[in-house]
Formats: sequence, structure tokens, C-alpha cells
Amino acid sequence: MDRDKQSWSFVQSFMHSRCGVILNDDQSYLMDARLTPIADELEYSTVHDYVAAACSAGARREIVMKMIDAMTTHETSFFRDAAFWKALNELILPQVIAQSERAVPFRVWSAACSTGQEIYSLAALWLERFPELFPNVEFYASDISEITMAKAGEGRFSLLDVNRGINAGRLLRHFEQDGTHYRIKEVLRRAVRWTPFNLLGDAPVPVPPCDLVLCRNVMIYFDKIGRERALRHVIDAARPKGFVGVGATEMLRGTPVVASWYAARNAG
Amino acid sequence: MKALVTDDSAAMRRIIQKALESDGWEVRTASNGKEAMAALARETSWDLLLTDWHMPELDGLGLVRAVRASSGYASLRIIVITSEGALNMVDTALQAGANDFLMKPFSSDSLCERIAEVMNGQG
Repeated sequence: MDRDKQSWSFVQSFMHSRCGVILNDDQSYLMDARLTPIADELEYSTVHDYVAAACSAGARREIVMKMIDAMTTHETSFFRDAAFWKALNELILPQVIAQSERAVPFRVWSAACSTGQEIYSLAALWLERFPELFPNVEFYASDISEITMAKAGEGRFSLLDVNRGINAGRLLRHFEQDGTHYRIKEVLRRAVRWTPFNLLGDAPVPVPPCDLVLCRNVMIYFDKIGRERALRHVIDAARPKGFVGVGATEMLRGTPVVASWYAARNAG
Repeated sequence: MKALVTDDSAAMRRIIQKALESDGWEVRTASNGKEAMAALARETSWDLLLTDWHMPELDGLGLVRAVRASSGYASLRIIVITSEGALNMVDTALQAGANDFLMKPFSSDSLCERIAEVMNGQG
């Protein structure tokens, strides 16, 4: 086996076992595109040396995290999928609020938060829709990539990021100018609690029982076993009367309340 | 649905026109605010105005103000499309009567999504 194929097979095995991500043989170009820059940054002689180091038992956390960050998909955008947010705004949120016990804070969890657009969209929507309840909401966000999550916590977005999904009214209401970038306002940034989490790991979910659990467009990258494990964590995180939101092309076992939304008790 | 695309860049007019027409819009174009006002007056049943900011004769801000000051265009949705990205300019455009603001560069997906929002009354 030549060295490229060997290193790629190491990456495939590593990403599958650690993150549940399936990488195909025909995606081996990603090794050069995404891992060679890291190898250069960390001053490895070759990308093969870096891969061998990162995939070995006892590898330093920093080099492992960089591989995970580079090889996981971070595709996300504000208010991604209009139908999902319409259903949340018009049906799911009002129901969550109506059925709540007012003494208990509302809790929401973005289980694969990537660069944060989803949880910030949710926080912004809640602030717009139910401002009097906003202080009583706990927003949790998790991702397997701590590097990506750290960026999310900064809340700093480019012009292209905000062009997708943020209209002018929301831009003015929820963002402040940060040079050529736009930063989520402090009231929203401070509302989010960031907790690293691997949806395929054995650790218990890092959040208390939640009214809303969002796990969108990530299970599509897992194999069957991975999807089952991730779903189990998602169900465990939801309150009995809670709701689970998934991606437009994802389906869970039960019947959805409305497209992409499932009652937690029917989701698994 | 009929839209007027106003930009002093012929290339940008073509790009936006193509994106709109592929989404089923009937499109007219103008190269500055003065031409745009004339085009609006010549025809009826306009639904959407997309305008650049910096243009000769009459700039985008002036065009938005002129349209909003005129009768007969109350239901006309206006999106300012410009390379300017300062939030105070976004605010100025909205205060003048624009419904939304899209910054260049933008993808055709972003453009179509933003138009859909504005036409649905969310902008």
C-alpha cells in the first residue's frame, strides 16, 4: 500500500472511531487540502508524519483536536431552512411555553453547534418573540470540535456569514460592527453556555433535561450505529414533554409534529 | 412578478437579472436612480426594486427616498444591494424606507432567499 493510501486509511479509521464520521476512499484529496496545512503549521516533515502522530494512541490533545476540526463538516448558517424556523416560531415555541412550569427555566441544546449560527438564531428568535422570558432561558451548545466551538463563542461573523439568513432588521438588532466583521451582541453571546461533547462517546449528555434539543444535519454523516448512539444522547437530553429538531432530510422513528420536529417521547 | 434592478455596473445588472429571471421574475433594469424613477413611472404593477447605493445622477439612498415620497408605490418592496457593509448605512437605508439590505458579494441563494423573505413580509 502506498503511503498516501495508508495515511488516508489511518484518517478514515480515526475519524470513524472517534467521531463516527464516514470518509470515503474518493475523498482522500482532503488529506492534502486540509491536513497538509496543519502539518506545516505544526512543523511536521510530511502530512504522513502528522497523520501518524495524530492517529496514534496517546497523541497530544492539540494535534488530535486540529485533525477533528479539519475533518468534520462545519456547514451551517443563520436560520437555516426557513420551514424549520417557521415551525419553531409558530408552533413549537408557543407549545413549549404553554406547557411549562414557570418555576423551571426553559432549556435548549444545540447538540452539534459548529460555528454557532444555530444557537444564536434560536437565542435571537427567543429574544424577539418572548423578550420577557429571555432571562429565564438557558441556551446550551456543544460540538465535538473545541476549536470550532471556541470560534462560535466569540460570535464574530463575516459578511458572507450574515448575508445568509440575517435580514437588515436582525443585523441591526443583534449584531455590532467589528471592523469588517459583525459580532453577535453581548446579550446573546453571554446567554450561551458552551460545552464540548462527542455525540458518539460514552459520556452522559452535558446538559440538564431540555425543552428543545436540536441535532440537525449531523447524523447524516454517521453510519447506522453512530446514528443510533447520537439519537440516544439526544433523547436522553430531552424533557418528557420536550421536542427534538432534526435536519430537513433526516427522519426519526416516530411521526413528526411538523416537518423536522418530533415530540421527544416519540422520537426514539 | 416584476422587478426593477438598478445598478451602474452592467455586469451586476446582468447577474441580478439572471438570478431573478431563473426564479420566474420579469425584470427591467436601470443604470442610475434617475433612470429608475423614469422606468417606474413608465410601467405599472411593480413588485420589487433592487438598487445599488453609489450611482451617478441619483444614488440608491436618494432613489429609495424618492420612491417612498411618491404615491403609488406603497406596496413596492425595496432591497438595497451594495458593497457597503457598515451597520450605520444599513440603518440609514432602512430609515429611508428600504425593506432590506444585502451586501456584496452575495450568492444567488442568499439573494433569492432574501427576496423571498421580503416578498413574504418578513423584511
